[in-house]
Amino acid sequence: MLEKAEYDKIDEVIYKYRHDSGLNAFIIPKKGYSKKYAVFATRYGSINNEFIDPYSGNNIKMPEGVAHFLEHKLFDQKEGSIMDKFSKLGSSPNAYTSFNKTVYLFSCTGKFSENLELLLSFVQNPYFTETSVEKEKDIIKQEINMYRDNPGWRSFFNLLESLYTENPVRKDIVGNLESIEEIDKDMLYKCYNIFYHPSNMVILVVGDVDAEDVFKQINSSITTKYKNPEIKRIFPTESCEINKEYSEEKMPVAIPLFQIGFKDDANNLKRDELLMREVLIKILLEILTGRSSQLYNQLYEEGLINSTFEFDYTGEENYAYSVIGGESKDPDRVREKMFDTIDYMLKNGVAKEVFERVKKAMYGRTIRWFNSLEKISEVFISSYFKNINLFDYFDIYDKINLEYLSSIMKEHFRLDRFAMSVIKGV
Amino acid sequence: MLTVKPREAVAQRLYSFNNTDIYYIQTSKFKTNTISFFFIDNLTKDTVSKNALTPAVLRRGCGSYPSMPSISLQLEELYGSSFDCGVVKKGEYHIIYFHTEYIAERFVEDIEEFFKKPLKLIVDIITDPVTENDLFKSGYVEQEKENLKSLIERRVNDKVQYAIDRCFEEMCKDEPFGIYDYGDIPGLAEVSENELYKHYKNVIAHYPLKVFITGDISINNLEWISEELFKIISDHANHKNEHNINTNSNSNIRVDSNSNSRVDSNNRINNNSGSKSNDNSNSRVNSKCIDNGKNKIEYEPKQNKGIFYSKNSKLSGVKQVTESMEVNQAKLSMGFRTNTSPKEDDYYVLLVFNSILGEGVYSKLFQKVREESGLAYYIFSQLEKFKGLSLITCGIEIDDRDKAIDIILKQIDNIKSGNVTKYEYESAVKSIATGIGFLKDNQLQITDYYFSQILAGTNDCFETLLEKIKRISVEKVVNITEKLKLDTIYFLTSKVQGQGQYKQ
Repeated sequence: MLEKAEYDKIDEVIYKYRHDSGLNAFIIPKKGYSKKYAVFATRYGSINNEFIDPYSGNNIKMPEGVAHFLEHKLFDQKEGSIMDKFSKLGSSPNAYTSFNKTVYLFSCTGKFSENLELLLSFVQNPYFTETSVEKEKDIIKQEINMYRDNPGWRSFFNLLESLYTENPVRKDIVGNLESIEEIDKDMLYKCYNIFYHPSNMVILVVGDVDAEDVFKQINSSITTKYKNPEIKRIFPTESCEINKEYSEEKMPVAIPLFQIGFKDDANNLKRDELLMREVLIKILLEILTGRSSQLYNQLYEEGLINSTFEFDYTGEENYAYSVIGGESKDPDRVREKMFDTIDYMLKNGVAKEVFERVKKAMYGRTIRWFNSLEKISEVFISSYFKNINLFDYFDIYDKINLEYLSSIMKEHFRLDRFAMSVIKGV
Repeated sequence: MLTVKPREAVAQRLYSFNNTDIYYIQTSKFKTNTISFFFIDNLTKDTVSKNALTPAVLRRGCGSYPSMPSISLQLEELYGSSFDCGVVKKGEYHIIYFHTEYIAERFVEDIEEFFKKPLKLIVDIITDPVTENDLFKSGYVEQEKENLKSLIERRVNDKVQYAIDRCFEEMCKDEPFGIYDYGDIPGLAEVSENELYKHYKNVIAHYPLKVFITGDISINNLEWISEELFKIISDHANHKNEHNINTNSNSNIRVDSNSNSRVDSNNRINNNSGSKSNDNSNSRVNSKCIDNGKNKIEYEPKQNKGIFYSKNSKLSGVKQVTESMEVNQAKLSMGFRTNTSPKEDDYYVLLVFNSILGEGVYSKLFQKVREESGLAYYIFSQLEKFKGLSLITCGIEIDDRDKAIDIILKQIDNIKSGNVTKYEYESAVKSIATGIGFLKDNQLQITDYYFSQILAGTNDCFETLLEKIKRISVEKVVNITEKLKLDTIYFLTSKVQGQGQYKQ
């Protein structure tokens, strides 16, 4: 069954197809683009280390970094690396692992169906051996070392460790030098068999392709026809309280890096609520610290921040937080000024004209996402796993209002739910 | 009456007078239009800091929007349009750029003559700065000098990029290319407010200017845009040829690093749900001079980091530089001279050579250094088109330096002795073809592509470039290795042995 939805306001169309196995596939055609982009993603990331095996009913706990390790090893096939076959087609395959998903993708200009066949085939056919798993450890060790030398990465995970006490989001996605040593091929197979069932996955194609042809191909290439028992993911109980207010690490940096985070409670929020919360908090962050804000300009003029200053909000069912950060010679002073401004905002509220202006700017930026196939795909996939439709991002602007903004502001910017992470020079 | 041929994604020159050219690239598939200004200079120690400061001060405010927040407010009103400016070196040219991107009019209902506003804003920023007593506003200059200083200092934060830039700098220490895009701190300190303002006036009046417009714009609107541009550059046009750019000297051979797509597979983890971008790729490297010599063993004890120059008999004539810092992973960069200008046919051969050597997962370096030896997570080679350089870089264990160098050099020897498989060759050519296709899907990259063509003095559209690539034979790739000379090995490590001497 092929479904079609049109979004005339922004000149876009999306097609949806549902496979018997429970897999959903989507196509967003982009007329005139040379690039064709396809992703095959599973709802399984670094935070899914503990779960109940639906086949045996056993409670299983895996070493940190398994999802990412699996992502590396899936490129190995019985007859060699799948990379070679993509290379022969002139395309580039890639993959990434985040907290809650693993995404496999390729981009190409020609021979789309051959490329798609490769993607569908290798993701469905794991081939792990003792030797290849051992060998990969050297490469991943270098990857871990690379991240250990990246001050932005370190600062981010130090912040999450401060915000969270139990939630696995506080652990580095790649794992650590000890945890990856524990990983073996049986663990990879176990996780694969549970989390790579089509019903836990999604396919998205963006580019100038024929929707019907693509769906036909997907239909014949997905071999699983039965549905899987539901996967029970286990999350430790995490209170609303933060773990600690401050963390500091020394690294060779010229100017200290800082990140300030607010722990948010988005538990049990679904779909529209989650989306609305995300958009509203992003509007609030923009009003508080955006380029047109008084705070940003005051800090800039006092030389307390520079152009690296930025902010974002992440809202998932199991974890949610905002992060504001950059470089500063005096992170404490930045924090103080920010708190003063938050205090003021909480007392005085947000002016309607400011709200409307920022809303307009964000709406325009959302339209600009649709220039880039990568951006479309990135937002689509992360929304999909929250049951949010990418195009809901346009309609939401008609539903939000100033009252709702004020109530979310009071919930989110709580000074007892914040933490700060600083990287100082050696 | 202006005539524009309906040619998708081809740069058409609308107007040209004296030092200014306006190009239009018609393309209808994007949601946005873009306008870019490029002022062109030679890269020199004398002007680098002044060039870098100019856009930094200009973006602080202009006549109609006298402060940064007022500019940002206007951008928000214009549906979150973007504005960006700065400097970038392309080979031994130094470019001051201004860029704006705004959504196409068809998405805007409530603003009349929307298309005029982003142009007016960017033109205002460039031509009508906030002044006091015939100088830039003093506070702005002071603050931007401080900001520039920290931008130079923080290059060290991004070790991957740092190891690339430092290798190039050591390699071209006595050449303009060794100068960092944003200059150095002593040079910056010397710039007076007087000099800076005079310099700015000179840039506006005399620097060659290229303007690129992309998107789907009606003839009427294009005419209006051009007329607006005439007004602001009429003064510019009166000063014909007063600013000479060396377009013919050999020193202007360069590489456009943007058009060489990097190996994507090096980026396996992409923390999408993690909120902050950890990408420091904007921070470039410090050209802060490590003084002195070729192939001498030296040490600068005052620095936090030790820097050594050493010599290894196996690699005679190769400059070797070791710098130490508190790092977990060492970075190895190897810089080569290609002795090839982008105007030569050999340049296209180099593109294929580079791809076979280290551009994709099929490349020799990825296969041998990563997949077979497990020495590195990332390794790739890249070309510097304009200056004619090639660079290999990777992150490895500290103790693996010599082993990695051996394997890397062996891969070049392999190509030299004709050891290139059909698979490697064909994958390389196809991968370049795919990369050219991708360029067409990004307005900034299309603009950069044509601008680079103009700078290099070449005239390839996407299709002709592709044709030339497809004609390159394996024999040509084998022969090009004869022109390649290893110049500098740069090593960033935590381990320093002995007093001022790095032991091989």
